[in-house]
Amino acid sequence: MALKVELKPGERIIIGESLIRNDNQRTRLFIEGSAPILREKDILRPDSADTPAKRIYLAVQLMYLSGSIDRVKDQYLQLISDLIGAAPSTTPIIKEVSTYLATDEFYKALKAAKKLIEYEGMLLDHVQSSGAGLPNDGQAG
Amino acid sequence: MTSPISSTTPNLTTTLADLSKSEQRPNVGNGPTGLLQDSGEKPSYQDFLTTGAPTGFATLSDVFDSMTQTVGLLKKGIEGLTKMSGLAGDARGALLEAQSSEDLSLRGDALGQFGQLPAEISTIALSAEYEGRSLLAEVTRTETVEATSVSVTLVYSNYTDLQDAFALEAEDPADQIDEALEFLDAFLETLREHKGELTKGFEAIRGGDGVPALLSEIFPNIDVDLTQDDLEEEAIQVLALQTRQELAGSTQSLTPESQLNALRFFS
Repeated sequence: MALKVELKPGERIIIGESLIRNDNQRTRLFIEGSAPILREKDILRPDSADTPAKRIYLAVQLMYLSGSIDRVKDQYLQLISDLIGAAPSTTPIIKEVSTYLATDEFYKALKAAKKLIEYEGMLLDHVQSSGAGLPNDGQAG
Repeated sequence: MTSPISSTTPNLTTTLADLSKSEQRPNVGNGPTGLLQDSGEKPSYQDFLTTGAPTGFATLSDVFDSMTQTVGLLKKGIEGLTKMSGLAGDARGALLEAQSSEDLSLRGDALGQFGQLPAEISTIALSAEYEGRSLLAEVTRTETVEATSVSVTLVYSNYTDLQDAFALEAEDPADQIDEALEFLDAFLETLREHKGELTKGFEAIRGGDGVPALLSEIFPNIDVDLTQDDLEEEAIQVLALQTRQELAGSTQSLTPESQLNALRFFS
């Protein structure tokens, strides 16, 4: 069954190893096959991966686009180890991401990784709203 | 190959292996990880920190490797059977068209297409993708997914000699078409059954007793009541981690990979 995607004018989408850029009108695409598909709003550029959760999302995104966990598996494991170490409450979401990766459900893993970014954002909002920050001695952790 | 794990948070150096040592196991009640207190109260955040977060990621690496291999093989098997079904379906379509036609060349072409099927299907069945297995060997094999309670039974069909199986006995072309159609109907049904078995195995691995159960051993179900102070503490640790990762160039380690796919168009 074909996947229907509507592109706004100028919107870009990755399909497989190609980047498709829409012209200046809304366009509807029907995409068949198993190539990875990423809409522009779901694409995280490497230079935008500036938080621990975003780096995990980037790793999962790379796995999705390559169709394999092999190339970035070690980096992924290190990143999730670091984040769970810093924020153990992220464990359930990271477990969800890892479960989907282990069973080749890369797109679902990516969606779960997006929840991780949202959760991280919520955590960091706590710091900003309460005014808390690094200890006065400047030491982290 | 296991991933080198280094905890960047001083308090969280306990690995799952360490937790198994009796002298380090806290006096807690029964739970998936032993972290729930006997009193039935939920552990505090500090309890969670001191008893150790799941850091046994060497095991997770093994899980990934094992699952990737098994799941990958099942997926390739399903894809292979789908390709075979496609070829057989096309040949069946040509035969159906020829069956209702008086065009002798059409009949000849349809029978010729049927005659090529053994070689084409054999090429798929013996592909190196299946790691020495044949999709059409007369074998019933049970694959047990390591460390889970899932056994996947891979049942292959009985077409060990495709040329013999596809050989037509009739001599008259019209009868040959009828015979070929009857054979293909049965063959397609067999492929559907086998694809169904592989799919069931696939779903079993993804289901509750498969990978999720396995990962529950690695990511314990921690039910922790987080206070406002706990959230702030975590947020501070995340910010500190963010800084450490920037200094260590954590994103840069992923950049080379991003140049190998369509993300390079966004650099």
